[in-house]
Amino acid sequence: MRKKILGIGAALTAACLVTAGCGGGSGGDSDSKSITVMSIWHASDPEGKILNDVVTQLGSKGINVKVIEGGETLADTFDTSFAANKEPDVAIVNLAEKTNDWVKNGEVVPASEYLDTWGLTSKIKPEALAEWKDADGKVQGFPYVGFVWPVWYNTELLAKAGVTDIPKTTDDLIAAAGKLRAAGIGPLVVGGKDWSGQKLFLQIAQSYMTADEARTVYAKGGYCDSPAAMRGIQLFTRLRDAGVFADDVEGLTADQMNASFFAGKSAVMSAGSWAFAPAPAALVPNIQLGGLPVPAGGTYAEPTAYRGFTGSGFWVSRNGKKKIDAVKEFVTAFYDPAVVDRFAAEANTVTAGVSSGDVQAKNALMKTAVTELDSKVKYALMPDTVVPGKVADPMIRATSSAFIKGNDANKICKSLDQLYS
Amino acid sequence: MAKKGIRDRAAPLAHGLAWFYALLLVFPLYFIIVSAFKDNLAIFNSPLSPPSSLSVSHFVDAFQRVELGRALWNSTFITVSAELLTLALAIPASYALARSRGRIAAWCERFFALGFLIPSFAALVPTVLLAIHLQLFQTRAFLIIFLPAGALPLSVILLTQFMRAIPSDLEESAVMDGAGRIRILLRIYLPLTMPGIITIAILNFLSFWNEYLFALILGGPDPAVRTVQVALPNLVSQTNTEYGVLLAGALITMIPVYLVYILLQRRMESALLEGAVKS
Repeated sequence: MRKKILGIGAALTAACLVTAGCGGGSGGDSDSKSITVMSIWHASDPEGKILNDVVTQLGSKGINVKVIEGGETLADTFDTSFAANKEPDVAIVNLAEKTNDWVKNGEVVPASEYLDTWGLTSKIKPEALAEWKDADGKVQGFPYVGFVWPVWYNTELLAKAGVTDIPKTTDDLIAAAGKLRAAGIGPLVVGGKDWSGQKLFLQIAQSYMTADEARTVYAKGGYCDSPAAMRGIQLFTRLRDAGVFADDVEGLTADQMNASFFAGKSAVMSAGSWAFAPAPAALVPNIQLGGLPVPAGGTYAEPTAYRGFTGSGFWVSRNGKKKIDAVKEFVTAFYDPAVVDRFAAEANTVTAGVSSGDVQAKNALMKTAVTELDSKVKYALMPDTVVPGKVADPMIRATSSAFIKGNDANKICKSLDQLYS
Repeated sequence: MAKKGIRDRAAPLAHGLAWFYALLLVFPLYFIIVSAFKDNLAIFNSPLSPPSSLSVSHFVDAFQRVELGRALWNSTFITVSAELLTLALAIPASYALARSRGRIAAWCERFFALGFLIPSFAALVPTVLLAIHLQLFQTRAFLIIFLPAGALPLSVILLTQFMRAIPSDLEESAVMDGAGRIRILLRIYLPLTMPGIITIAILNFLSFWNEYLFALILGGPDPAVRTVQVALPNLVSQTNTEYGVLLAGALITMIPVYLVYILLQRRMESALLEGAVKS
């Protein structure tokens, strides 16, 4: 709790300082061939190891890159540093929540300014560039790491409970949840109190909305006034009250969700491709990836999943613009097909960069996701790029309480609409 | 007689409650220690069971991943420097306030007490702006200057009370023997108020060492500056946090706190006894 309060304090400070625009100070390193990169990748992770290799290679070309790991507070730290004119030249972080406002705040330079001149337009998947565009059509940063976000089914547990087919409709899901509960197995588990629960809620809420309508509602609010959004929220409460979600799910985090599924306590979970690597090897043969069952008469004819390229990307700061030649060398190095291939093979990531075409992920789940998922699911609108930065954090608190029984659709939609006012 | 009987009957209950309280305090520590040797599955699924292995790999991982060695040095440097600066300012200030009886001194004491009224969050933004304008943003130097500012009100108020408890006869005798103010402070007040100084030192050490928000905002994430409290959360990942590694890192950062507490606690007890004999 204390850390949460402190985190909010850090965010508020960052917001105050950015809004105040209190520039000053000496800026970054004045050496045009030395740049500072603040990264969300850890040196111990495969992504971090590849980053370090790229940095070493650039060093041999006379470009010195200092990497600072920003961790989960990277966006706040970047904001505060920006106020002091000491922000890093490049940030490697996801496009979500606070970073959605960076271009608007003038904290970073839109990548659109460099894509063509750096020859990157053809090296980045068009759908990834589309996702990184803001309301003005500017590509905010250079997209890099993406993800798929399916629903995981433990077929062994489903069979034990007498569920022979993977549920495709919400009625199937309710029936399967009843059988699983009767067999003493937890049904759908999710981190109800964090971002994973928020995404699942928004995935269900858009069941009756077109992608355009969902985009408008998620960007501007108006849940209570949208009949389609209300039907989606009512579907959510119906699933919740029917016992589809595991017990006490409103108090769980994404890590607890993973642990519950990996330990065989729950038969279904909604988790992204980042959880492929930590999945226990013994469990993998029993895992079937699919989509979230959909209601009859809904927008999607097939179960839905998420996919996106907002996992992380490169953001060029105001200071980075002053050393744009070195920044160019750094950013473009990652779109070399050999480096893209390494990310796919070693880090098991879906990348926005175009690969050489002859590389395959080593992870069995990633292989399945890449080769089979498209035929099984439809992709729902990924809310991260649409929900405004200032709404994203408080929305998680609102969706968390949506998992608590007794909160009806009206109460939930009002709590969401309040966030946009 | 009847009172004694009640006391005898209540003794086991009191003992029981004392042990229960002790268990409540030990329980989180037990959880942290056993979890530091487990993986996520074991932590979430059998949180209280002892670990199946006593491998120190999580401690090594934690130490290497976020450069805890460097962060420990930064924390030590900042904490010790800020502690010395706080004491160097608080001791003479308290002495002056304790021995002065004028109106200005009373106002000065109230002024220090006003420090309690300022919530730390309220001071955050102006402090950041100050650091930026002093060109000391994201430096250890600013943290060393800033932390004592927050600790001085409590330190001065507490020490002033300790010093007021010293009989003024002692000071008068020393003055008659030709001792100056500084000598009186160093030779009489300092030894006799050692329990108070040690208490303040412990409180300040805990406060400075555990400082997170100001250390994060004012110090930043650069390994050259960041403290252990800023480095440690870097072991948290939004998608795949290894809690065993995180808790191993937390244990490492707790060790200096326990060492200092044990060391200063003994000094405090002996100083208390010494003070009792002298008075």
